[in-house]
Amino acid sequence: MPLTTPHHVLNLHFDNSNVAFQKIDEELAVLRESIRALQAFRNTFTPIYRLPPEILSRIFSFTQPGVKNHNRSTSLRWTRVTYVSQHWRNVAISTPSLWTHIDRFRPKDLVEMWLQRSKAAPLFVNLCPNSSEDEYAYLIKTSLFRIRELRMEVGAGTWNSFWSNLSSPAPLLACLEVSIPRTLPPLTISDSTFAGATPCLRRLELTGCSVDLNSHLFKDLTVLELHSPPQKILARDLLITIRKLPGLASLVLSDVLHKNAAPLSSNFDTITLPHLGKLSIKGGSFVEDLDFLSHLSFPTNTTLQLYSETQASTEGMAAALLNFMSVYNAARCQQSFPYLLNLSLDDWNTLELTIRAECTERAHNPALPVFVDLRIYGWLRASLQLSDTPETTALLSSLPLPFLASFSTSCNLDAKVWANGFGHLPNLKHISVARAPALNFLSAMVDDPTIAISAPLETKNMQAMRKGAKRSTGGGVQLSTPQVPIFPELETIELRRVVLPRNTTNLVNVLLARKSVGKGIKFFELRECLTVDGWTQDALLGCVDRVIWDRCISSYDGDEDNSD
Amino acid sequence: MAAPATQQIKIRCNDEKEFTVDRDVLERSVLIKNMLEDVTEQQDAPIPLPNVSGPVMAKVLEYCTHHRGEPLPSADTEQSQDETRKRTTDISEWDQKFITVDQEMLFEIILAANYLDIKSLLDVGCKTVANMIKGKTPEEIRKLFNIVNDFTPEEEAQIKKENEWAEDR
Repeated sequence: MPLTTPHHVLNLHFDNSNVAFQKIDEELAVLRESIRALQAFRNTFTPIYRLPPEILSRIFSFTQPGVKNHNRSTSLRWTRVTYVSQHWRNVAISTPSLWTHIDRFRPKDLVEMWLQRSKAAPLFVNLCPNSSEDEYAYLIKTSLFRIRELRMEVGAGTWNSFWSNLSSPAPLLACLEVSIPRTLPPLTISDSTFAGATPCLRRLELTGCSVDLNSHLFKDLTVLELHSPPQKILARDLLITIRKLPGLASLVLSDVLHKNAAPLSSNFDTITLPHLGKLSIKGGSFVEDLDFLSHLSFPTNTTLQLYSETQASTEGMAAALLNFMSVYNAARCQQSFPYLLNLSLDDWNTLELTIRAECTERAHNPALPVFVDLRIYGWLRASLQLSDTPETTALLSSLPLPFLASFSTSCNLDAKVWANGFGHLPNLKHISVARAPALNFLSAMVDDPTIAISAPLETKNMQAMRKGAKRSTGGGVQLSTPQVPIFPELETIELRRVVLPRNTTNLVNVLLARKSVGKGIKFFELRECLTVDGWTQDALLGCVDRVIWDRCISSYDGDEDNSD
Repeated sequence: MAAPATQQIKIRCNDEKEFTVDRDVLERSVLIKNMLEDVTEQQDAPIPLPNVSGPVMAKVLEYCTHHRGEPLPSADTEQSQDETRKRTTDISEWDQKFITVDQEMLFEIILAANYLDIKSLLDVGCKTVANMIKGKTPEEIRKLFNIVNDFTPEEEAQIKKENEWAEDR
């Protein structure tokens, strides 16, 4: 490569300074270009230059934020790769797939640039349209034909005019998500939207939109989610629509069904959804939701969530639930209760029920035990002492829960409830307690009459274990052979922000006793807990297979009342 | 009755270095898998791999041996990952340790994975480079890879404008 050296100009004689300026500037420009060319040539010798463009663009794609974990500040950060060198910039700009994700953080100029650089590639668009941002209208008008995913979360403004842009066919559209807040005028998605042409649409998620169930959108869907439409839908109409969607894999209905509607006729056909993996119904009336459900048939490994309201008494509630479960069980499963029961007690008159199908492992291995998740949410109302209410105890004692496998709570349930109400849960495997001011279930375990603990003998293991504890628990103990301990199948305990009461002193003894009869706890997790008896992580290590002790405080003179 | 012995395959790298490897390990490479399927008779001659050197192949084989028996990604999986951009740059602990090498070797492994068509290894390499890039300024990236700024004044002006669009939001 011939280079022009400055010496050539330096040897010239100039009579006129203007001519000198011109000549020297020309010379400088040539030199600058030569330097740039040399720099580019130098870059070709760097190790990373050996990577072919397709690999470099693959690397760039990994620098992009995922769909779910980006925000305004990180959305465009990856474009810095286009500012590194000419080669990198050329590779990035000539890779259309890097420019196909257009989100709400793009200003208009960048939207146009993205559309240009993505060439004809399918687009993934996530907008927050309102009247003041016409760049979105431009985007929709020019590119609707190649949008594959369209997500719109309406922020504010009169955006109905924006919606009118969606009147041409969307042949590639596979996913449509629209969310309109209740404060805005309702929008009806009708058959004219997308000119009736969305042949690839498989996922439809609408929040706050009125829907025309006869619309072409309700065809060939595999995922349908409807949330809070301004006009509630009759179960019968929805079922007729669902009948046209045999490929549904996920159906989520939140505050959708009419309440107080006439019950469906028993002659109404049951609709079979053989591919359904998830069914969630929230916000409806318990009776009507059950009515709706009883007309659907789906695989036994479908995850079924039912959050319904009821005014029934706890006894009535329990009876209706059990009745439903037995009917449902008999009709759908023809085997012993394959569904999970997830019961949340959130208010005096509102019971939230979730019945879930077995986890996926069980689908592959029916011999696995059924997992049932019982949750009692009360942390917002901790002062109400749910445990003291007759409703709670009545409910808990009226529900036979031989299948309960998992229990999580943030309530301060009384030890008596644990020990008497549902203390005997033969299949309970997992307990999770959070934010509760005391931990009565441990007390229930310690007071478990089936495990006898007496002074003064102590096993070697326990002596070794006790060396880890800062304060003696007061004399040794002798473990007699337990019968069946309370929670005999319990394997994991998770405690978060819990104050361990003083009467858990003997907990380690109980854990050892369980271990000695092959009923040991495999996993004990304590996070941000306060132990007032002075026992520490070391104290647990000898009697539990695995301990996680995270940010816990162990205190001799800890005051339980200061815990929160 | 003893289980049938795993078939051993010989390969020869561009530096004449030869390896004898279990067939199932080698079949992590789609390129070699296809080659082996095309050969009907058992051959004693080593498979020549003209684009891979011995030291790099040793690393590649270390990866393939560790991941032997795992399901190979299908073309469909690959495509759907691209489309939904649910990619993550998470790398397993073992893979992270494995790929902790100098830049020269890192790029050689990526090139070998690309040539041998080992998608998972290619991704481990690409994610590693992506993680090196993430969070850095262009100048820091240049320094990291020994690159110099070779933009023309016109390109610099355009970049400045784009940068303003991106920042001024």
